Amino acid sequence: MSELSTYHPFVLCSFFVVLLACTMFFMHPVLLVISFVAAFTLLCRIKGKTAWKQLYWIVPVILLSAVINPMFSHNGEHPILYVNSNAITLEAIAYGFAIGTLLATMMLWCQIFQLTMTSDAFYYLCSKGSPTFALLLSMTLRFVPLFKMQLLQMIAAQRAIGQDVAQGSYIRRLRLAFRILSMMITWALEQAIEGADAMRARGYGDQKRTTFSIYTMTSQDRAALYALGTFIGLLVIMTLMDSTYYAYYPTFSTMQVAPLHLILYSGYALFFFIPAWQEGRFQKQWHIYNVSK
Amino acid sequence: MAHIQCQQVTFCYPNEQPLLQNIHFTVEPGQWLTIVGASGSGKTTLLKCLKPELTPHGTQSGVITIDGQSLQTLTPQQSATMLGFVHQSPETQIVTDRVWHELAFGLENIGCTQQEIRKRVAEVAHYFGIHRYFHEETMHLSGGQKQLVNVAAILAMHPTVLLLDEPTAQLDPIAAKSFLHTIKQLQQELGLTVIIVEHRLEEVLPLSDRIVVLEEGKQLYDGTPQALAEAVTPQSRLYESLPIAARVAMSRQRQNIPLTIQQGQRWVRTQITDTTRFNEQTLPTRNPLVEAHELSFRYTPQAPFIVRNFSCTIYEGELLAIVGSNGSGKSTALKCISHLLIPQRGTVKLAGKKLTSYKANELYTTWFGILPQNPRTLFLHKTVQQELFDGIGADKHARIQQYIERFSIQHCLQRHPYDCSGGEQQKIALIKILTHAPKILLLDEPTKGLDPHMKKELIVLLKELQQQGQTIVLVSHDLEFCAAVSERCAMFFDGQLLAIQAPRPFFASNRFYTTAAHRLTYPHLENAITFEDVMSRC
Repeated sequence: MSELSTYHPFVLCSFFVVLLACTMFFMHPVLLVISFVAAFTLLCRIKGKTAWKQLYWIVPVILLSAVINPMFSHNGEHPILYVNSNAITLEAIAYGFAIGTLLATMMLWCQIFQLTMTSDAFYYLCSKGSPTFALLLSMTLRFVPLFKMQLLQMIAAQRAIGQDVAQGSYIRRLRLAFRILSMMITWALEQAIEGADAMRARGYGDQKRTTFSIYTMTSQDRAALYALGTFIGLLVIMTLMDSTYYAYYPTFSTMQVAPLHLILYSGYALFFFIPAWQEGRFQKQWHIYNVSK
Repeated sequence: MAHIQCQQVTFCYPNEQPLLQNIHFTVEPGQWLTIVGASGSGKTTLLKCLKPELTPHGTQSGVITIDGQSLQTLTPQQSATMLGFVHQSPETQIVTDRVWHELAFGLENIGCTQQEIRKRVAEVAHYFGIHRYFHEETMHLSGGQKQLVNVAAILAMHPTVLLLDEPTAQLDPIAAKSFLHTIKQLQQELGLTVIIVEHRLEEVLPLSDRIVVLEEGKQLYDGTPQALAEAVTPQSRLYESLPIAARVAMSRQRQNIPLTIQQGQRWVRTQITDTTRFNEQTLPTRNPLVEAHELSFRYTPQAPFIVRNFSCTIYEGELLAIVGSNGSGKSTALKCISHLLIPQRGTVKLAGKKLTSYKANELYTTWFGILPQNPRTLFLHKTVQQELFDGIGADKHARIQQYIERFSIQHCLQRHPYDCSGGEQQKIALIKILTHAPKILLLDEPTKGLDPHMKKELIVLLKELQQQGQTIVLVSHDLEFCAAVSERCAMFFDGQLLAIQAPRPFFASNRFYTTAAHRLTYPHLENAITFEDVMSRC
């Protein structure tokens, strides 16, 4: 999967929450671009060459947003052209680009989240919140593929006696599909009874349950958490210094290019690139190991 | 002092006749007790009565004690930890998605601390060698591995008694043997008390310390395995389940019955005098019906070929058995022949024409009749009657009725298909397929989950069908069944068919992958392959 999965789920989750929140709430173009580039780099590191296929939808989303926003929003002081006495302003186009980038970045981070958080990690986080829900999650993850397999077997068995769900008249196929589904539910209920018996036999009942986890907090997790703490401090400073604020309407705010702000922006970028750096570091380790053999 | 004691135990379901009557036995600590009986004799119910959480609703009288304490007075904690129960189906007992979680599940239930769980799970995973697939998803395990994980999960709770309800019914012979020997190892190394309900007496009888026989709810016998062989007559239903060495010896004597192949070989060497070779029957000449030529199939381009250069000719009216180990790809080969899977290379010709030139619906009704590994997957209706007659034209009703009478399942007609026993479900599925009179019957593991009595019935049925000109191809890992029923046998290995011969030369030329009868009598009798062969020389 991803090398980042070796981190403790709590660390991973906190990182993602902070990164997503920063992306969502700060409209500053520099910050948005940093977030986008960091997300894309990380995705490339995890998925390899296939990550470039993401551009197929990223570019349209950004362009579409840049085109649609000016059609609805006519604020702004630099109109480019007039359509039916409505002004298409530069600010609106820029805002469209910004929103498009924001959407694309959010989707990228969500994809990365899905790739790095395994079901085990989810289970761990849920078990801290609600042990019963965590068990339910685990059982769902077990039974859903099982049901899918049984359904496929039933469809295959019917096909082997001449009843194909994929061919024939619509009505016949629909009836067959309904019958298969109905029998699937009967089968699932029977499984449930036997499964419940097995659970009871192993002591599942009204008494208090503990939860078992396979994760332990390591020094690299602690280091990551310190980095996160530092970043939150940095964010506080940036907000106080007004580095994060950027308005598009009525016109563009002035870009802060004072050295202090540049340092703050680089700190921000540094943090955002930590996951990509870690991912690359682990992969390189592995590559070196392979080559040295 | 007895570990478990059953005194005058009687059980009946509400509003029904008593199922168990006057069961009385004692199990010493560290003993292995096997409960034997035909299906419906109440052995599963008896086993469930020993585990308070699983005891069915009904009226129970009599006393069951463990270590002198009545079962009713055990706390839930005690009952969960002291008594471990392993069910028949490996699949239904697993409730979580990962192996590590499955092992920890029971311990979580009884409220162990994080540290305690960690240690016990590690201990049990190490003992069973599960640490190799500790992080695997449970659905990717084989049947044998799943059953092992189940036992490990129960042992993590440190029970003193293991209750097993036909644990090897769904497993192939090799996994079953391995499982039973693991349980024996547990009994010997840890002193666990084992109470097991089983059909495969060939393997279990030599491992047991005591046997209890149930027939229609009454206790017929309670004693040692050696004495059982003396107490059972060739007429009783239990006779077929006994090991072959015992059955052969019982024709001549009542005392000192051998139980294992090794003991039986000594008996055979001294007692059987007529050692002439059996005649090998010549195969009748038949017309080829299906010709598969160098089929190759794999599921994905990255996967290895499961079926490689597989060639096979199926003749009209024959019964061909394909044997091979579990997971070798026999079922896949069958699906390639019948066009359910499209092979990447090779061709199949059906009655001279290419398989692709046939239409799908006529292919699967008039030409191929395919019985899946799990007959349950065929059932879609609420009653057996609907299942067999729904959507079938009236011209076929007469034939269905004939089959119902011949397979004697009239009593099942108004039941839900899932309420019928394994053997009955198979018969129903078989009738469903035979309705359209397919020219070729393809059976995928027809003996899975059947007890010896049902297997005998199936042999008779299949032979009858073959007499009437039906072409049958079956895939199985049950060697005794194939030796008894087939006209030609082939071994499937490494993606191909090897050694297609009549059963006698096929099994007689193998040394270990062969029937118990051959292993028992070789080299004394050169080519005996079935029980009947051996009996004919006694």
